Parts: sequence; C-alpha cells; structure tokens
Amino acid sequence: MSKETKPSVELRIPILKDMELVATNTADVIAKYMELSEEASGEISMALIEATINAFEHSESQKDIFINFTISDDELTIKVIDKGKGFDSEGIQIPDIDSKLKKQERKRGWGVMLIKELMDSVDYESGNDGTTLTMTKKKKNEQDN
Amino acid sequence: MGGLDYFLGTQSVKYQKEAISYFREIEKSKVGLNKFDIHFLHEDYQVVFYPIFCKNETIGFVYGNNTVSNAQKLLSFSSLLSRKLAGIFYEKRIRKIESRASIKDLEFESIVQLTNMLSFCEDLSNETLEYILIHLVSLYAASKGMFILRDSNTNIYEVRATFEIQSEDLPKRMLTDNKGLLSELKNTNKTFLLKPDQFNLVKFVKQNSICSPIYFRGNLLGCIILADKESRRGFVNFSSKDANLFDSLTKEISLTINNLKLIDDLQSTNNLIDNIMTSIEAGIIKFTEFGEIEYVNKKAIDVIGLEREDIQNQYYGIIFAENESFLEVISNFEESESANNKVQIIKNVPYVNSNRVSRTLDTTISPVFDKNNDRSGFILSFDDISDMQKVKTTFKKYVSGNIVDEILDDNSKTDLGGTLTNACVLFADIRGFTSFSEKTTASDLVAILNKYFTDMIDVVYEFNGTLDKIIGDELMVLFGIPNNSDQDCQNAVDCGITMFKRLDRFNEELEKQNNHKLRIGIGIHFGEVVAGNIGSDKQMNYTVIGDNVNQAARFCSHARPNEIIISESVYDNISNKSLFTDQIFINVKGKEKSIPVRSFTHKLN
Repeated sequence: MSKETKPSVELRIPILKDMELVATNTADVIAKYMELSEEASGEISMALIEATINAFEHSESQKDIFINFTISDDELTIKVIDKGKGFDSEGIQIPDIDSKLKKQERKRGWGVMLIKELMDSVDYESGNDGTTLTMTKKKKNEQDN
Repeated sequence: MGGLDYFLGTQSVKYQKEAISYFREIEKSKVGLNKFDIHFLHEDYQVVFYPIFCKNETIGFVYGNNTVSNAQKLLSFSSLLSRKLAGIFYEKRIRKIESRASIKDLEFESIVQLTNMLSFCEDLSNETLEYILIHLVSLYAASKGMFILRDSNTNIYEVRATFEIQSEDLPKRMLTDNKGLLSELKNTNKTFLLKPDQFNLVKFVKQNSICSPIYFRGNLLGCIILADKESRRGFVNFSSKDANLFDSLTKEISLTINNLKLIDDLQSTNNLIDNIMTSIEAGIIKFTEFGEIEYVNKKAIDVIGLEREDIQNQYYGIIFAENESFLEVISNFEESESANNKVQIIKNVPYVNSNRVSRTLDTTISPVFDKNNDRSGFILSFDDISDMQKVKTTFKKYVSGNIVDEILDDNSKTDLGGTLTNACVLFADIRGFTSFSEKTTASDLVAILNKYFTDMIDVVYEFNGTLDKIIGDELMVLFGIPNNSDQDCQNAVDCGITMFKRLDRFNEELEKQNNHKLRIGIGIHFGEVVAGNIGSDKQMNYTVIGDNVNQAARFCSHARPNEIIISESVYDNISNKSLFTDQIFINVKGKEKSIPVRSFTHKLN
C-alpha cells in the first residue's frame, strides 16, 4: 500500500432482498461528495444495481458480497467482489435481443452490456475464490461537456 | 488489501471479515458506545477506518489517510452514509405501513358502504337479501354468490338469493345443518375458504369460494357464499385477507339480519296480540301506573267513540271526563288498589260517548304485573251489556220482569227442573166469555181482549205479581215467584180487588162504544208449589205446578162474576180480613171433602 491512501468506502452486503439499495444509496452519497453530475450519478446507480444483482446471482453462494468505492480527484472506481465460484469473462455473450424480447425478460439479463454502456471502463477478474468486477466513472469537467 | 492488520484501540484484528465480526462483538457488549467515535487505525497509523452502520450493524467502512483534515471528512462521510442507509429502510417500512393502511382503509370504506346500505334494509324479504348479496359480489369481484337463510318455523335452510348460479346448480335436497358445509359452519362459527368439490353445496365453484356464517343469538341462521373471484387473468383465488374482511362484513350483516328478524318477530307478535284483542268482544283498556291509556282494543274504541290516536297516551281523566260513573270505577280502583291488588268488578255502569250513544257496561279492573312481578299498570275490561238491556226490556213485555231478571241474571235458571216453594196463585177469567164472543166481531173481540189484558196486566205489575200465562180469556198470576215475601197474599188480594176497579173503568169505555160489559171471577190460593222450567230444551216455561195451583183454578171457576174466592191460607195472611165473608164450604172437583173458603164481592160504586 502506498503512502497515499485514497478516500475509500468498503461495504459488506449480505445477499438479501433490497440490499442492492444500500449500494446505490452509498453511490449516491459518494457521487454527491465528488460533485458528479446527476446524470452520472444515475448511471452509476444503474450500473451498480446490475453489478450487485449479477454478483448475487452469479456467485451462487450464500456469502456476503463486498463493494469497494475508491474516490480520486478525477474518477470513481467501484469494485464488486463476490466469493462464489468465478466465471469466464471471455465466455460472456452479448444477449440475443430478439430472443430476450420474445421471452419478455425485459428487465434483466442485460447486466454486463448495460454496465459497459453506463460506465467508462469495466473489467473482470475471476478466479476460484470469486470474481471482482471493477468499473470506473470519470469525473468530467464542465468544459468537456 | 488482505493480510493487513487493523486496530481498535490496542486490539489487532485481520481486515474485513474478522474486523467486522470483532466490531459486532464490541457493539453488542458495549451498550451506549457512541458509534461515530469508533474507528480503526491501520498498523502503520497511516490509514483510518470509520464504520458504516446499517440496521444497527456495521456494514462497511469509510477509510483514507489519517491526516486531521481528512479524518474529519471521512468521519462525517461515514455518518452521512449511515444516516442515508438507515433512511432506506425507514422508507421501506413506512411504505409497508402505508400499503397496510391503505388495505385497512379499503376495508373500512367497504364496511362503511355496507353499513350505509344495510341501514336502508327494512325487512327480510328476498329482495333485501339479493340487494346485500349483489353488493358483496361487486365488492369482491366475485362471479357468483348465494345467500342461504334458515326458516325459523321449519328449521330448514333455504336459498333466498343467488347471483349468476344456474338453477341446476342449486341444492336439490332440503338443506339442514346435520351434515356438510352448514354443519361445519354451525360447529366452527368460522369463515372458510373452500375448494371446489369440497362440499356438495359449492359444486358450482370453479376456482375457490369464501363462505361465512350468519348467526342469530349464537345459532346458525344461514350463510353467504361468494365464488370465483374475477380478475384480468381470469378466475383467481380469494385470499385469506379477503376471507378476513368478509368475516367482518358478514358479522355486520348478521347484526342487521338479527335486528330485522327481531323487528319481524315483534311485528308478528304485535299483530297476533292486535288480532286477538280485536276479536275479543269485550272492551280492553290498558292503563300505565300513572293513569295514562297505553292500549285500547277495537271494541273499546267503538264504545269510547274517538280515534285510537286520540285515546292512546292520554290521561284517563281527560278521556272519561264526561262519564262520572265510569271515571269513578277507575278512580275507586286506583284509590283502593294499593292496599289490595284485587280484581274489582262493577256492573251496570252507564256510559255515554262523544256521539251521545249511551250504553251499559259491566266492568272488571285488574292490576297488571310484569315478569319481575312489579306492578306495571292495570287493565279495565268491560262487557257492553246494552244489548242485553234491550233484550230485557223487550222480553219483559212478554214475560214478567221478575222472571226475566231471574232468568238472565242466573244461567242455572234456564236448566230444566224445579224447586219446591211457597207461592200465592191467582186465576182470573171472564164470565160469559162464550156468549160475549158470539155477539162481537172477531176483530173487535181481539181489540177488546188486548185492551182488557193490558189493563189487567198493568194491575198485576203494580202489585209485584208475575204474569205466568194467559190461557184464552184466563189470566194466571203468581205472587212470591221467583222471590217470596210475606206480602205475597196481601198483594194477590189487593191485586184482585184492584182488577175489579180497573175493569169498572174499562166497562164504562165499552158501554160508550155500545159493547157489552165484561165480568170476571177470581180465585186465589196460597200453598206449596213446584216452580221451575217446565217443557223441553227447545221450549220451556218458567211456571209453577202442583195441587195448590189446580185448587186456585178451581176457586176461580167457582167464583161468580165480581167475586173473589180465597182459601183459608190466604185469609190468614191478609190484613183486610173484614172484606171477606165467614167461612163457607165448597166442593171442588178432585177433592172428596168440601173445602173452607171465604169470598169477597165487588160492588159497583
């Protein structure tokens, strides 16, 4: 660990109904603290919901999941860590939109694709002891927009 | 990140799981610990950790460089997060409460609606029940409904109202609560969610049904069944929440039905009492303890001659103000009753009503007690005997008033049979009636005879005699029948003498019309006779028979015109003995020995 430790928030969330709200509310507070735009804040929340629910579902374990927010001046890095069995990030398929529409599963199953759309970068690290999803949202200057 | 040690005070713990579980223990053991003062320091003291709480548990940390300004920021950040996260669950709880409240609101609303609707129900007709059923069906979005009530007379349950149930699905047999659904309801007093085919009675159900009992004073009175809840997805099950609400609604309905039933029962009891009271020939007036008229029956209304509304709830002193004797009957009872709760009977009370119709009433007043044996007023009942009075007056024209009263006042007097009694018997007949009738036309004869008898009978009544009968031209008169007195013989003799005097005046009239004079002879005897009703059930005479009656008749036939012949027994009982001759002996038919008699001869003035 370097001398400079960025301000961080570490959450340990039990796999229970509505617990994703804890994550999104935390993200809201952090976004405000970082003075991110409302739009960015909303995007982070949506991405985080997907990531959290994915972690709940994919981990297939009854263990808690961990979410780590690292705040820096120009970006927010979020890690969603589950301790379940990992999955092959190469094997993730882009869902077939037609079949999804026919099955009327409108709400779910778009997780990774959606997260990629919402965040500036997304990365997986998967191993036998679990999966870590790392996503970042850059803080854009007013001038950039 | 793993492998680093963290400190809480002097205690060194491994990061994450260990740190958090350690922290939870601290939390549990140290009640009153100020959460926001708690923080962890990394082993090199460079990094500080502040816990984030959610639902009283540490859910994570905020951490960063352990500089004074940074630590302050991190602490406030962690408390902000804790508050924010607590808010989520409060919000959720509030929303849950709100949704429960809105369900309660809905239940309340439907109870209010139902209560409103029930308040318009006035009877237990099929229409009323159908009205209630349709309301429930629409409230529950049910597709079918059935309302069953027990007939209180036969104890058999009847389907009183249905909604969308085919006639072939209605129960074919008589419904009793010995078995099946009704028995289940009777024994459990509960609202049921029923599967189709669970009971024969609900075989028309496709999805499920709710069934709730209706109770009357703890006894099963019937039930309401709603079936097959409709939704956009087709039929759905009624839920246990539906059942709960339905249970309270049917309790409300039970109450209403109980009330309506009580009103029905009361009404029919009232009707029965009214019918009985109306068909009673006697007048009935019920007074309260305070003398207010509580009830009058039809006969009483007729006699009083006012409308029911004008009589009831009035003080009797006002209603009967014009009828002093009647008023006295009541006030006497009121004055005396507190001493003795006895029945008071007063006969022949005159009553003149507002239409100036007068009547004669036999009254009976008796106190009334309620079921606790407390006095609750009194009842006056009366028989209108005005008709009886009319009968008496008419009757007395044909039969002596003495006998009429005797017979009418005592029913036993109309039984066949007689009693041995003393009586004075007078016979009077017209002398030479045959030749008289030959010389006179029939119509004149009847006119003359009628006048003659009228005059003579007037005399008889004057002397308290009882006209027994008229046999052709002969009068038979009794004295001492039905009631003896020691004046009977005197009356008989005076009656005979007066008859001659009256006849003199009568003859003067006859002479003026060129008719022949009438002459009569009289025989009087006093002795033991048998008095009573003689004849058959259909026709009987109150009369006297016996040897002494015959003897009086013999004396009469022995008497010359203007002569009275009396026996010694009569002579012994009169004061004006000097009017009569000394003893003379006469022979009468049927007697071997001659009999001593005395005679009086009437002389024209």
